[in-house]
Amino acid sequence: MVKEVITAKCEQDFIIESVKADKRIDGRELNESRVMHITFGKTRGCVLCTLGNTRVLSQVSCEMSMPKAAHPTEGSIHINVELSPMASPVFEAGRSSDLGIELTRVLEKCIRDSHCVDLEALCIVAGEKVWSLRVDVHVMNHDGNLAECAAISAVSSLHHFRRPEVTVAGADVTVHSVEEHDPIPLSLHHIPVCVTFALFNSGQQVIADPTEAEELASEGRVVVGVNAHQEICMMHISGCTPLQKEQVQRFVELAVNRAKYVTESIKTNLQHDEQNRSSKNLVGFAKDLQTDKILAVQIRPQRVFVPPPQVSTEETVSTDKEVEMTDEISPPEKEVKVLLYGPKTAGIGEGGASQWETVDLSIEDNITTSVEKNIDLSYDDESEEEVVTLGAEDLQIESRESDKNDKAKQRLSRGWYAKDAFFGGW
Amino acid sequence: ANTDVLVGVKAELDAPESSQPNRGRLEFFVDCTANADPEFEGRGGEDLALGISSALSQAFSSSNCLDLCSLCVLPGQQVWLLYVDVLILECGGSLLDAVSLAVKAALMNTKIPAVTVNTTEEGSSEIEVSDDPYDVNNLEVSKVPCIVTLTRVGHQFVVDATKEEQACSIGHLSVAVTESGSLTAVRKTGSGSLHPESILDILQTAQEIGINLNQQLVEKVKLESSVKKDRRGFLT
Amino acid sequence: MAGLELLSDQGFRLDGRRPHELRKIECRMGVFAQADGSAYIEQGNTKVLAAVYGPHEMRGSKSRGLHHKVLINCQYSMATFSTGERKRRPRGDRKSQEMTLHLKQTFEAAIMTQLYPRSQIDIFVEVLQADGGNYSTCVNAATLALVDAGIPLKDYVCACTTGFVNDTPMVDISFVEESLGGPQLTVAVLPKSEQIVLLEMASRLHVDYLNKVLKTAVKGCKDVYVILDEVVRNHVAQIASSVGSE
Repeated sequence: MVKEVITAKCEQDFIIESVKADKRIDGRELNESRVMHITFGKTRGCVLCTLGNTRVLSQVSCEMSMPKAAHPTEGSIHINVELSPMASPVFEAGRSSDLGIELTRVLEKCIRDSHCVDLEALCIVAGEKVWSLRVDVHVMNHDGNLAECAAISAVSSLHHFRRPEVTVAGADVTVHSVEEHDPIPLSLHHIPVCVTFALFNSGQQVIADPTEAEELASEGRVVVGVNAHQEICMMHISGCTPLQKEQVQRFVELAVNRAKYVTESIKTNLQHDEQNRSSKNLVGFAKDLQTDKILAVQIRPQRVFVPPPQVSTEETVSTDKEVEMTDEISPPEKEVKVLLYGPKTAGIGEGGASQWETVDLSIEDNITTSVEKNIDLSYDDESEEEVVTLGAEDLQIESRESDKNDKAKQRLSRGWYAKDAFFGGW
Repeated sequence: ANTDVLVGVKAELDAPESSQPNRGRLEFFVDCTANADPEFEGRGGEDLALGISSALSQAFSSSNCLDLCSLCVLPGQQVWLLYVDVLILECGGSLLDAVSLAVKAALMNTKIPAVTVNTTEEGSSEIEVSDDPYDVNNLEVSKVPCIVTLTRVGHQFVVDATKEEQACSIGHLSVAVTESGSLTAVRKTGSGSLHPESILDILQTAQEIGINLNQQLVEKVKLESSVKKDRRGFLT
Repeated sequence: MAGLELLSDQGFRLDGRRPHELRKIECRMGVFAQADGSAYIEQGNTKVLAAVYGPHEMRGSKSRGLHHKVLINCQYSMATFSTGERKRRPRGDRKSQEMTLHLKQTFEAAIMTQLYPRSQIDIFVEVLQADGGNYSTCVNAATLALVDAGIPLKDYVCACTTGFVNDTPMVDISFVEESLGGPQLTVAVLPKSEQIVLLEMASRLHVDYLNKVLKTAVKGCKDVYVILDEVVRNHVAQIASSVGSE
C-alpha cells in the first residue's frame, strides 16, 4: 500500500485562501516560476535540472539493437523514470506508483510521441542495426512540478548527449571510440518542454510552477508540453475539476510564453557548457560543488520585504521597501521586521533589544538620548548582517570598522547561536 | 447467473519446438476478467485462469485431437502457432465445459491463410502468405474434444452445475470427450473422494453426453454461420 | 504521410466518412446479470464491454475507504486478441495503467461521489476489439454501465478522439488514422455544461489550431451524447413496458 502525503487541513486552507487573495506562500506572483538551474555533468548527456527545491537528474545512454519489424529504419527511444525514496518519503523503491506512471507517460508523450528526436537518423543498417536511446530520469528531490523539471532535464540531456560515430563498410559496422572520432550530437527537431499549472478556485485561478504543498492543496494540475514554435506536443489534466474550453485556451497561452523562456535558457546553458568544454574550463558537477550550487540546502538570494513601520512619531524609517540582493554567497535572508521598542528605540527582527548586541551600552545610551534625528535604515551589502545606520552626526561613534570587529568578537562568544540569530524566523 | 466466455484464435508464423520440428504449436491463454467477478481484478484471477488453461492443454495433448502436422509450413523452421485466448466474462458454474465448447467453436471458425513456399536459387526458402481473405484453410476439428464435468452433490452427480451446485459439491470429474466418443483426458478436482464404481458410471454418462454435445455444437455453429443477421454477439 | 491520404480532395476519409462524422455507434445496456450495471458498445470496429459493481462495502483493506466520498476503482484491460498484433498481457502495461488512471479521474469528476462515503464503486472496462479511440469508447461504455447501475451522475460523460489533418479536424478517428502519427486530442466532457473533465493530447499541434480542434472534439462528444441518451431512453422504456405488462 502506497503511503500518502498527509497535510494539515489548515495548511491547505491557508494556501487556498492565499491564492484567492492573489498571494503565494513563498512570495511569488501567481504566474511566476521558481528559479531554474541547468547544470551539466562531466559525461555527455548528464544533466541536473533544479526548479526551486525540485531537482531531477537525467542521463542519456545508447546501445545498438535490432529495430522493430514495423519500423526497420528507425531507432528507438526509451524513457525510464525513477522515483527514488530519496526524493520524497512517499516514494517506494521499485514500485511504479500512480505518480510514476503519470510522469513517465507525460515524458513519453512530450519527448517520444512529439517526434522530437529524429529516429531515422539513428539507423545504422536498415532492418538490422539501429541505435536505441535510453533516457534515465532520476527524481532526486520532489517539491512539486516534477513534470516541468523532468522534461527540461530530459530534453537538455538529449541535446547534450553525443553518440559514437559509426562507419558501415559492407556488412561490417565499426564503432569508433571517442579518441578516434568525435562523437556526434543527436539530431533533434525541436525542444519540447512541459509547463505545469495548479488549479484553484474551481479552475478560475491558476498558479504556475506549484510547489508540492501547493499541488496537494490544489484541485488539479494541467501539464502542457509546448515547444518554441508554439506547437502543443502534449496536454494532460489531472485532478477532477471540470474546465471550460476558454480556460484551456488560457493555460495554453501562458504555457507558450513560459516555454519560450525555458527553451531560450536551455539553449544558452548548452552554449555556455559548450564554450566551457572547448576552452578547457572546468565542467561537470565538481565546479558547482565549490559554489554550493548543487547542494540541497543551498541558499539563493531572495527579495527582502521591509514593511514600513506603522508609527506616528516624527521618526521616518527607510522608505526602501524592496531590496534586491544579488550577492550569491550572502547569508540566508528572512523577512526583516523593524520593531519599535519605545518612542526612540528600534530593533531588527524579533531578537529584540538584546543585551549583548552590536552597540556598547554607552552608545545605546546615546541612541536613547538622541532625539529628533532620522534613523536611516539601510542594508549594507558587504557586511554579513543588517546594520542600522543611525544619524551619525548625533552618535559619536568613532568608526564603523571597530564596531564591526567588536561584533565579530561578540559573535564568537555567543557559542552555538547562528550568526543570523537576529533575523528571527526559524 | 449465466456463464459467458469469449474465445479468440490468432495464428502467427513462428519457429517450432525443437523436439517436434514438423508440428504446429497450440497455446492457451485464459484471462479471467474483472467483469466476471471483482475478485479477479489485477492478478486475482490468475490461479483460476492457470487451472483452466492447464486443463485445456491436457485435453488437447493427445496427438489425435488437432492435426498439428497440418500446421507445419517449413519443417524445423516455420510453423503456425495458434494462440487460443479465452476471455471469461461471466461465471455462473461449469466454466470449464463452457470454455471447451467455445474453444471448439472458435477453432471451427478459424481460417488460416494459404501459404506458398518458394525455394530460391540459393536454396533458401521464402514464405509467402496470401493476403486474399478467401484463400484460406479451415482447421480439421472433428476430433477436438468437449469437456463434460460431472459434479457430485450429495450422492448424486449432476452435469452443467450452477454456481450454487458447485458450492455444495465436494468433487468434480471433468472428462474430455470427442465426437466419436473417445475420451482424451480425465481430471478430478475438488477435495472429496469418488468411488471407483461411480467413476466408471460417470465416464459412461460423460461419454454419452459428450457425443451429443459435440453434435449439437457443430450443428449450432453451422446454423449460426449460415444465417445472415444484422445484429450479432452482445447486441442481440 | 506514408503514402496514405487520410483526407481525399473531395473531403472524404479513408472509410468514406466526412471529417465531422462519427463512426456507427451501437450499444446495449444490461449485458450481464451478475454485475450491477453493464453495457456493450461498438463504435465502428472498436468494441468495448463495461461492467460496474457497487456502490458496495470496501473490498480488501477497509483503510482504503475515504471518509468524505466514494472510492472509484477502475480497471482498463484489453483482450489479448483485440489488437492486430497479439498482445502478450491483457493489462498491467504502462498504457493500460495510464488509461486506468484516466478513467478514474474522469468518473471522479462525473459521479456524485459525496453520496457514498466509505464505499467503493468498481468500473471495469474490457476492450474486445481495438480500432482507434479506445479510451473514448471505454468512457462511453462506462457511462452507460453506470447509468444501468443507477449510480447518480452529474451528467453523462461523453468522450471523443479527434485528429487533425490538412487543417481539418476529424472526429472519432480510427486506428489507421491514429497510427499515422498526426496530432490527436481526446476529450471527455459533461455535454450539458460543456465542461471538460479530461483532456489528453499527443503529437504536435500549433497553438492557433487548438481552438478549432477542441471545438470539433466537443461537438463530437455532444453527438455521442445524443446517441447514448437515446439508447438509455429506449432501454428504460423497454424495462418499463415489461414491468407494466406483468
